[in-house]
Amino acid sequence: MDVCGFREEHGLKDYQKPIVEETLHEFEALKRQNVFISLPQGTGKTIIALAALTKLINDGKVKRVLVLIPGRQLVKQWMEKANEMFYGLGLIEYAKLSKEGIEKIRGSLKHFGAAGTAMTMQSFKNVFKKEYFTEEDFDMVIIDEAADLVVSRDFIEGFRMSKYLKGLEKWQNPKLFLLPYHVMEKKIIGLIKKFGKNSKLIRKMVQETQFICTVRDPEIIDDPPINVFVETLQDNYKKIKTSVHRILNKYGIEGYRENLETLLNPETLDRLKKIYHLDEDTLQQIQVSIVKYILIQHIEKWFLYSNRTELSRSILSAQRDVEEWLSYEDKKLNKLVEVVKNHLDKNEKVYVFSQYLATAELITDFLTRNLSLKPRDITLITGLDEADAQFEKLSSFKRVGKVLVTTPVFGKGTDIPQADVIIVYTPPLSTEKLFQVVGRIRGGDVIFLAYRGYEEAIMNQVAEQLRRAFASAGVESPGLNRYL
Amino acid sequence: MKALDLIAISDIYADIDVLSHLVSMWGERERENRVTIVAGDIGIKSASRHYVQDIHHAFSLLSKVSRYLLYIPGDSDDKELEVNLPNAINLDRKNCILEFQDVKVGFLGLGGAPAHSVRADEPLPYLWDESIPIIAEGLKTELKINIEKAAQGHPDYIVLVTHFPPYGIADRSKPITLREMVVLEDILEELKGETKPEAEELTKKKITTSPRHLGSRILRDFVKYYKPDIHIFGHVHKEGGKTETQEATRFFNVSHLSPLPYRLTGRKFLQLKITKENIIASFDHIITERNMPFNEFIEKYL
Repeated sequence: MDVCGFREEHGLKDYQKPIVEETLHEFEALKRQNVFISLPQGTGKTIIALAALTKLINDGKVKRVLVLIPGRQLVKQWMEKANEMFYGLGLIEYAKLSKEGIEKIRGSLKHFGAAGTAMTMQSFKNVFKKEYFTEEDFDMVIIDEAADLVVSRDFIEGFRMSKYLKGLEKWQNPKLFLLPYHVMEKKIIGLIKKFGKNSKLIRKMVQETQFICTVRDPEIIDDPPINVFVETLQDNYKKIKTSVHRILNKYGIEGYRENLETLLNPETLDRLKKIYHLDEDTLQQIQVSIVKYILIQHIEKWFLYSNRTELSRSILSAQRDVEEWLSYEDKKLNKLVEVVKNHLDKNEKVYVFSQYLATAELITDFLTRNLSLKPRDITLITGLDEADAQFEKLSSFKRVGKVLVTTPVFGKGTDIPQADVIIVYTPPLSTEKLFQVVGRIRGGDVIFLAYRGYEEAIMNQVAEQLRRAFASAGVESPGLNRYL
Repeated sequence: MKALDLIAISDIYADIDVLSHLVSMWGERERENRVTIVAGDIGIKSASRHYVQDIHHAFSLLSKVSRYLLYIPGDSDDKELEVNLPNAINLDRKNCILEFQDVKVGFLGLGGAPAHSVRADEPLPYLWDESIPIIAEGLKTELKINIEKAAQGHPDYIVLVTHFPPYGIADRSKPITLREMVVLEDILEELKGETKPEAEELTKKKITTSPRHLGSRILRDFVKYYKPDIHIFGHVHKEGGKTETQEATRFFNVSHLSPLPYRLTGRKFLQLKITKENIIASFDHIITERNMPFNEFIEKYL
């Protein structure tokens, strides 16, 4: 008799079955050490992994599994989902980093027949360092949202990759990595390189029409002064950046152009001073210019994303045109109220995303006041909330809420299928993150807001990019296996 | 009936250029009705060889446009700072009452800053550690005596002036530093400002340098109990321009007048129009060319 498996009302979907079979075949018949599953958000990567795991447990091939998840709140969600769908798994959450805690888990694993333990990747780092657990304690490792810690496309990616799950690459146990479909090839190649060539990548674009979002044309807001401010700031930004490049040209400094911000690092500056004999004035000029252009970018965001409070406290509020602009109500927030109201009137749940904390708070306050929302109607979740509070708030929204406002706090694996529409008030900083964000709602409308002119052109491009991505659904691109 | 024009500034760092602009902007016409409060960090004692002259120069300018100059030293000032001008009144651990036409205002003050609000390696002359019971008791007693003395004159309003904020009000920031490089690094880090990824569990080091409440708990308890009408302070530059009302007290973080450490939020002052009936508050900036086109404005002031 099986020790674990799907509960009665649950099971695999048709497209999930061959993926589970393929995974098991890779591990069992082909003795693969690592299997990477890369599927679109919402297609049930976790369910696929758990189905494969239950089969291996029932066949007596796996007794103890280690599950690694990026964030603490996700560990809870992961376990909740596992227990809701599967019986007999009895995974234990690894909560505290203490020897006593470890012994408790070890005891549960031994005496109560728990199938394993789930912990954050950060906890794994500590556990590995202190050797509380070793590879002998487990027969298999599942790494969910495996690309999460290495998704950023910056210059230190190589460094991050070397630090990523450090030590796990030496474990000989079978490892199952779960990644979203939109992760860039370069990152998957990096992961495969790190964990060894005895790997298999199962990468499929599964077509689940209910997960395809409808990307609406951006809602346009007429507010001409915004264009003047933003274009001026953009010109200034370019001018300052050019002046930094000019200094670099003058001294023949190469290797920093892609990420000029690294020049603010005192060690880097010391190096430049020694190698290129830069004087103090020049160094200071570089630093001040870089800080200035970052500042200008930031001010641009204050204008675009309704941060009137910060603008009012700044010296810009003393400039005639800005003062006048600040004297009337924010038109973008008014448009947001209009759009949210339209959806609430249709009895739909709305998810508003903001990249910035201050804007998210502002939006929550503004919507509450202008739509007379009760506290249970609107939920704000940000990084200021503890992991447990985030989880509880999200559950509350799913059950009784009408509007959810968040910052990028749910960048990793959280589903919000209850939301019918997502309004991206301030877009994330990369396309990958945008995919993650809109993917949370598992189908529905995606709405952007943009001021007519400069921002309109940008948001049209973003919307177009998203549309193209959704339109290309169904086209399989497993070509990465050439790297294996 | 003309209102008393109470102007509050802080964190000047002896920037004579901005003070000169201030003088030309305010003008001498309203001098007789104007009281200027300087809430600390008037100069930088540890960085200037001409500290005393700097302070004298700053106050001479302010004196031209103010009938009275009330001041307290901040953490960057000499604790024993005394300004020898007939209309300058040191409020540090003292109190006074000023009467204008029909409105009477009591003032009391406390200078310096709690040591926990600045970076550990900062060479600042006027700091105290409120976690030491005897120091905490001393500060509480002085504040208590001064507010009670001020209250005995039956003023219409009582104004508390400190350099630092009370705990929990317009006081959230990383510990204060005057070192430009550290400020630059902070600005960069904050401007990148996404919500921190949850996986990134904080180490002890990160906690000590991340933004937190820098204000004084002693001051918080004192204000809660004695409820002055107005509390003016500076010190936490990032929260400059913030206003809050709690119970009967209106709080104003008036930092910072100097364009340092942040040009974007500098040149700030608070104006309170005080009559027997009410107080009207507004923040403004020392900017003389407000009609300048936006692009020129950016060039000049950022």
